Amino acid sequence: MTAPAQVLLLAQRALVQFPRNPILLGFSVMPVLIMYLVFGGLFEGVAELPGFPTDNYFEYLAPTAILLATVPGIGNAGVALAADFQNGYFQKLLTTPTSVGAVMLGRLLGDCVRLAVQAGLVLLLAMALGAEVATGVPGALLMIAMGTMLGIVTFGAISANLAIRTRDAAAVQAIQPMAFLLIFLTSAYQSPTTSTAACCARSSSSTRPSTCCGRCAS
Amino acid sequence: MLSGYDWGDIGIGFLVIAALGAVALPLTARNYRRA
Repeated sequence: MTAPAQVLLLAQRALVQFPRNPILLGFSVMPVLIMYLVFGGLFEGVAELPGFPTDNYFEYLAPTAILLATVPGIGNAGVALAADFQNGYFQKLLTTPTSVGAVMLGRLLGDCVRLAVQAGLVLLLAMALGAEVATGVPGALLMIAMGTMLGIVTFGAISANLAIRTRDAAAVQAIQPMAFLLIFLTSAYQSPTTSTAACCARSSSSTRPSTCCGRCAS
Repeated sequence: MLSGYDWGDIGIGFLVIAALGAVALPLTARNYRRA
């Protein structure tokens, strides 16, 4: 069996496992939806600032919400790999002609499909809240595809390495919140010139707040 | 159909993902082979 066929077969194994555990499917996306609704609701008024790129803050936040679903979410692949070490399935695979890289890539690919579906749900919620994807369905699919691929090559690789290092599912699970920290450092939340916090701080000390906010948001 | 896209930024995005993947995935596979 060729290496790509091995990867696909192991990805298929991961996909077959997901419906058996609906709690994982449902609750792994729940924190993202809650954060999206909370942050979107809290900072909704920012969209009313002059010069803000959109009049709907949920629309502004939607791409980041997709990253919030895909990048930390791929950490579950590392948890599953560590569980395979703990229950001996990984060692069983090593007795077959399967390449070790295919075991890791197959798991990441399987989780990638799950994350694409969950990112689609997040996007549907954003659209229900008034967000529009200017480039239509192809643009939405491209956004989801790039988000899932970024998840694999960043936090997916980190969690897979942590799984092989610790061989402990709990340890891999423990590092997952660090991915949220990385997302919060993106330009959607932090920017030296346009950050919401910096803008509010300047506007509260300025004699003409609206002018200040307009300048920093544009 | 292809209008409205910022192809320059999309290209940079794919390049970054490919570069990260070219570094991270072979390293991870190597770590798994060594395990």
